[in-house]
Amino acid sequence: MRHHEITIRKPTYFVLASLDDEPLCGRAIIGRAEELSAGQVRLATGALYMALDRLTAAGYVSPVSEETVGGRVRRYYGLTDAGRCALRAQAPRHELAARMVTEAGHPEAVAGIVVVGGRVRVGGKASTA
Amino acid sequence: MTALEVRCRWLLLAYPAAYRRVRAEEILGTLLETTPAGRTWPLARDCWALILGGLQARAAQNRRLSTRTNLRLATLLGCVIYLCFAAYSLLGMNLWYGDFGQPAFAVGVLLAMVLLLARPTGRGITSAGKAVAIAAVIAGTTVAVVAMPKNVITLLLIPEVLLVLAALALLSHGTERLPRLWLWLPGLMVAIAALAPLARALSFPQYVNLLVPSPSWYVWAAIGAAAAAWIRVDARPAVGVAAFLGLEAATRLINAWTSTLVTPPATWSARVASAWDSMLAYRMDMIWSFAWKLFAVALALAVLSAWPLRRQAML
Repeated sequence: MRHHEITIRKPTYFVLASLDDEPLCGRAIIGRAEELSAGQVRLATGALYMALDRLTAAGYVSPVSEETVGGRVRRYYGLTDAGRCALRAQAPRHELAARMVTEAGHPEAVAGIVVVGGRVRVGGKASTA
Repeated sequence: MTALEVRCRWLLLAYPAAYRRVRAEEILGTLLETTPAGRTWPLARDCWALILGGLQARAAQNRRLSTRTNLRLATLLGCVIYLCFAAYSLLGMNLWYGDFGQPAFAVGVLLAMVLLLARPTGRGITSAGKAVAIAAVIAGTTVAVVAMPKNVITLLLIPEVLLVLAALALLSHGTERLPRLWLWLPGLMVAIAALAPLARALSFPQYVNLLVPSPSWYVWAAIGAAAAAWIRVDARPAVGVAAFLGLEAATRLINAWTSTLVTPPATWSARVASAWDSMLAYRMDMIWSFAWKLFAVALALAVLSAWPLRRQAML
């Protein structure tokens, strides 16, 4: 496997973050990334697999299992140790996600995600959005 | 299969075949699951992402070979385009005049080219294939020169075609073969060469020679632009088209120049001889003004693709 440094932008970051708890399949990654980013990252299928290819090539993610659903293969992807390190290292760069990954781990536990003028802000206290 | 699935499968063609074999079903599954129910087309952003993803997968796949091999394949492509186009010119310009010698040569060259490129064993052309290729070319050349051609001007093309064929024979050694997708390019060139006289016949109905190919330089520039747009995915076709345009321009110049060296027979009157000279000078001017544009497009393509070609091997 080839390991090399890759640039991790927001969508790629949320793909990594969505796999933090458990291995997921493509559709579940898209849903989880949207949920974790509070709706900011809505991955298109093509973009998801592009990101997964890059992350797999970098050794951050690997397919862990597959099952056949309706005659089609469905692969589950999981974080490798390198991937987990990269996720922690990248967390400070993605402020909103940093809270979720380092403090709470789940968006519903993060108090005060508010949408101000169409942008997501993270507040200290819970407030109505 | 639903209409949505058919359309998704069409979009998946953006991915290279090897990639599709492994991933297509998985991607398709995710795509069908995430598309809102009731739609017969995937979402616009999904379409766009699939095309981008496919091109990116192609670009990744093209980063396997050394610069040396990439250059070899690119030049090989240039030679193939050149030979296809030259064969079409020889066929078109001579069948019209009722000459069959040079078309025989063109067929021999095409046969040799196919034999050199098609290697069913994967280890190189067999000696029997080599013998057939060489025999076809020698027979074709002999017929072309001996068969009393009425159209002498295109005879000048034969040495260049033989040289390029020799270059193709040298370059075709090696384990890496031309990607099958590239074979569209020579086909496109010949289709355009065949369309150009048709377009001319539509605007000048009295001039009905449908076989003489003479696409304007805009057509070659458009093909160059398409190859340049593909550089991000693969820089090699651009290098191949640059090689073709360079060879084509050089051939036209050399032929125009050698035709000026032919001295008019002594039996011609001074008036006819001077008309012949000024005709040749006019032809030289015309060809030069065409050739420098081809050279410019070739040079621009070569400059644009030089760095990406090198990078393609480093990543």
